[in-house]
Amino acid sequence: MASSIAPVTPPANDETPAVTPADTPLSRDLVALTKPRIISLLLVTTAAPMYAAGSPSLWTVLLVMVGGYLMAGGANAVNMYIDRDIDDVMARTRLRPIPSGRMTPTQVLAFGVACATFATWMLAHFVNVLTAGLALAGFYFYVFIYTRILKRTSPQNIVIGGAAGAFPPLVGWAAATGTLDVTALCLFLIVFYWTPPHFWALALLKQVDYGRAKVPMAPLVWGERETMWQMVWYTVILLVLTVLPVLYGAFGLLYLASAVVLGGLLMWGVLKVLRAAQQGQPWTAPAWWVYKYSLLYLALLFVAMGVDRALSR
Amino acid sequence: MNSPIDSLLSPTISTALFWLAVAICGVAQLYIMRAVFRTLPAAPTNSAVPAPRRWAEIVQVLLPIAGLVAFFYGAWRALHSV
Repeated sequence: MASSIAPVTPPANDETPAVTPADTPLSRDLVALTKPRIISLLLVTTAAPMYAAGSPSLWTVLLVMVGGYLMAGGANAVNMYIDRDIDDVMARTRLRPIPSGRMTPTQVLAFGVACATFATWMLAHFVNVLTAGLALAGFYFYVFIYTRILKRTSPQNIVIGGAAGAFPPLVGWAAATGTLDVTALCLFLIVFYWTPPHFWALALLKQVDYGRAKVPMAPLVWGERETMWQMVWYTVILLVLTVLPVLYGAFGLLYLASAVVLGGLLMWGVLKVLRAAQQGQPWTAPAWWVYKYSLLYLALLFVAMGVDRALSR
Repeated sequence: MNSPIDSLLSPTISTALFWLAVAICGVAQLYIMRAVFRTLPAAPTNSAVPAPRRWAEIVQVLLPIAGLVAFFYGAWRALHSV
């Protein structure tokens, strides 16, 4: 299951809290390598589907959370190993353990692989093989498809790469039921279509950094205005995907109300960015708002799923 | 408050809403594809970043559509099994 959690990290990768002093102890660096702030959202999108899919024991939830954290943390560490050259160039990542010289690349790689290996064993042994397989798939997708291939070659890097971050709901679902169904696929797509508006809001704000690192983020390739329009279209699909499961009875009215209100706010924020740009006004404040609110949006949406289903049983 | 809404809607309305959802996603996906195809031959706005590869961009814009189609197929089956 862990891998599933790790995937969500693609976008988050650029958001790592890397500001640590030079005399940081090793334990703190190891925690920083896992990007704990980012993983917290992945854990929400893993745990909530467990309660939406069934009635898992507390023990199972705990195992999936630990395994998920280790898998995602391992993926984030390997990501820092692969991206060590551009981390040194970007202001936001310059203080990470490798570019700051506090850890060697080999140490970081070994730590990441060890975390992922242990997580795979743990999930397969204590939860089920499908959960472990999905988590590991997320790990590989994040490390090889997103970080190694897409990130430096395509403006759609975080679109397809976002699939890595969409594995956690599958992991949670598989852990609770031992299988996957159409609602699990819907949760995967929700995270998938949520990723572009979330991450492009940040990319719009960090264009100088990405340009310096030669990472072809959408605003640098398509331009700001086109990227904003793309955020709108991805949000439209996202909102439709969030309400559709209600039609066939997967979720109830509590979830529907949450999805409509939360989604409406997200769309309002995305349109505000576009409108500000079209009117020649500063759009950085609304872009920051979208970036931050979209994190809250996804967490609350998934919590609403779990609560809705738990109350209906 | 959290009762299933499928029990409150007639099959006709559910089906209509389903196709409305498909149509909205289809239109949005078309605009997404249009942007990708429109920018394919052009150089990046920022010359410091590498230009995207045409075939890779096309594959990447088509993959999510496959996911959407699979989901809509599953949702349609689920809708009619209620």
